[in-house]
Amino acid sequence: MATEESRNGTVEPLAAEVTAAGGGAGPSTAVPPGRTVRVANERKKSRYLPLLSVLSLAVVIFLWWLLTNGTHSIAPLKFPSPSEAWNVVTELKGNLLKAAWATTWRVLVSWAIGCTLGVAFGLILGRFKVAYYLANPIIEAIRPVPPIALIPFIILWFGLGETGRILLGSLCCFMTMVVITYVAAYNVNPVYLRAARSLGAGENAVYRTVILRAIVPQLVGGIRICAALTWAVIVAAEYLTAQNGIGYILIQASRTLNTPVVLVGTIIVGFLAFLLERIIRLVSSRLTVWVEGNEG
Amino acid sequence: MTSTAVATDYLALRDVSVYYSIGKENILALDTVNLEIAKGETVCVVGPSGCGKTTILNLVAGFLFPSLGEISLAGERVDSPDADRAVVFQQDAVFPWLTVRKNLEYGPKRRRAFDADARRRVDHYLELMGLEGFADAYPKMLSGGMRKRVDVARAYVNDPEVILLDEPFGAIDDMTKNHLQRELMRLSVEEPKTSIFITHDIEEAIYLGDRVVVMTPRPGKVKEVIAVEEARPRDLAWKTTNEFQEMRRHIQSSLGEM
Repeated sequence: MATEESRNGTVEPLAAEVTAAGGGAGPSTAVPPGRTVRVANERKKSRYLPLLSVLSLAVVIFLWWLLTNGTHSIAPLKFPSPSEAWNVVTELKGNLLKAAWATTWRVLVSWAIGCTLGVAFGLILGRFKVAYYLANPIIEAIRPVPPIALIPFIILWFGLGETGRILLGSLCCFMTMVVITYVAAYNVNPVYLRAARSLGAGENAVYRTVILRAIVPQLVGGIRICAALTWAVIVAAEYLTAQNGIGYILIQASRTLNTPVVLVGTIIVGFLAFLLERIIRLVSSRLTVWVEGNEG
Repeated sequence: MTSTAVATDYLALRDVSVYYSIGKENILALDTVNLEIAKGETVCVVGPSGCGKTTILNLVAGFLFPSLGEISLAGERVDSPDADRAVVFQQDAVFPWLTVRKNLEYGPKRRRAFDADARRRVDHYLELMGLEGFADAYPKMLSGGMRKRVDVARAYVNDPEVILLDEPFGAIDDMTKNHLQRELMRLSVEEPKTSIFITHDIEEAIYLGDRVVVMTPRPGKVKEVIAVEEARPRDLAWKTTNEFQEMRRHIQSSLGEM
């Protein structure tokens, strides 16, 4: 069937509907391939365009090789060659994996603790005026301080142990999520609150069935921001306080002018952060299928 | 209880005045409004914008308290929103995070009355409003007119005593609006509800109302109340009759004199 063929191609869901609506046989339903309705100004989707991304990546890797191994234009101390980087990967595989796990564990734990407490606290502030007025000045005083600026204090209070790093990571998530949650809960469209009350919801039910549902998109967005923040803070804390983890390996390698390890470590951090971001995106798109403009 | 069936003050506003404070000034928005509505009656309120039409609805819904006077439903003073008074808002108030069916189920669930009968009502109103095919769709997939149907269905499913409609079709194109008016007409025959319908559309007010209340500009007062005797169900074609147009001209001039 001609329509089947065109549906496999570059057709929008809308177009698929249009052809499908024609239903059974008959001359009018025999749509020639590629002639279903198209949307003006739509962002072009093609199966060939992703090839460009592969191409640009290949060019970068080629240039990398060309400037290092190929022509030796860049000093090995400034930037290692692909072969040096690969040697690091094969030689230090075990150590790198261990370090990656140590860092990931710290990020996940402090992210989970910080976000959970932050959302809970933000909800309490949104629900009880007294709590808001008590806590708000303190939060507003601490919030502008960049988390990394707190590292000296953390070292004074907790030494170089795990507690301090987890606390720092949690704190930055907590501060971010408290404010995001509170503001989102405060800004829920009042028409939903009124509608719920007029349908028989009491105050607690309004909170549970309207406010908690309506703020999910903002919370998911905030939690995503927090994941990125936590990577930054934990790696920075590892520079200064840890005896293991990717941050520790990076700073040690930098001090010993071991550029290949610096490069590989940086790539690992980037890749881990990218992976977590992807997982969050996958989960969040399921939580927010109802949001306008979000393709379930 | 004394013959509530014929009581004309089932829903009553008595000497209701509302002042809004803007800065240091108090502005009179509603000036001693008196309105008595019988059980099952539909009263449409028309008036220039800013005359306090929506304020009346918010008062009856329990979202606002009058500065002076009192509002009562079946002899009880109205002092908070409750499931006995459903509201269809001008804005889109369908919960976007619930499917169409879950939106309709929301009221009965909150009242802890989600039984077999409530399920039947949900199915009934899904069908009646032409929403069966969209029961499991999220509101974002529906057009504005469809969402209004969901909103109206949600109000009826909850089986309230009173339905309050605040310019529900204000933002909807004429053709869809005619459809929706006809559906409301059908509902008013099938399941008569005491209703207040706020609108700025005179024809809509006459078509749907048992009475049309004409308001003055701010401060809003009841200028005139016109009874519409035509039996229900009313055909849309009735709008083109002389009788109808005579009423429309009358209300228009009543609004225009101000």
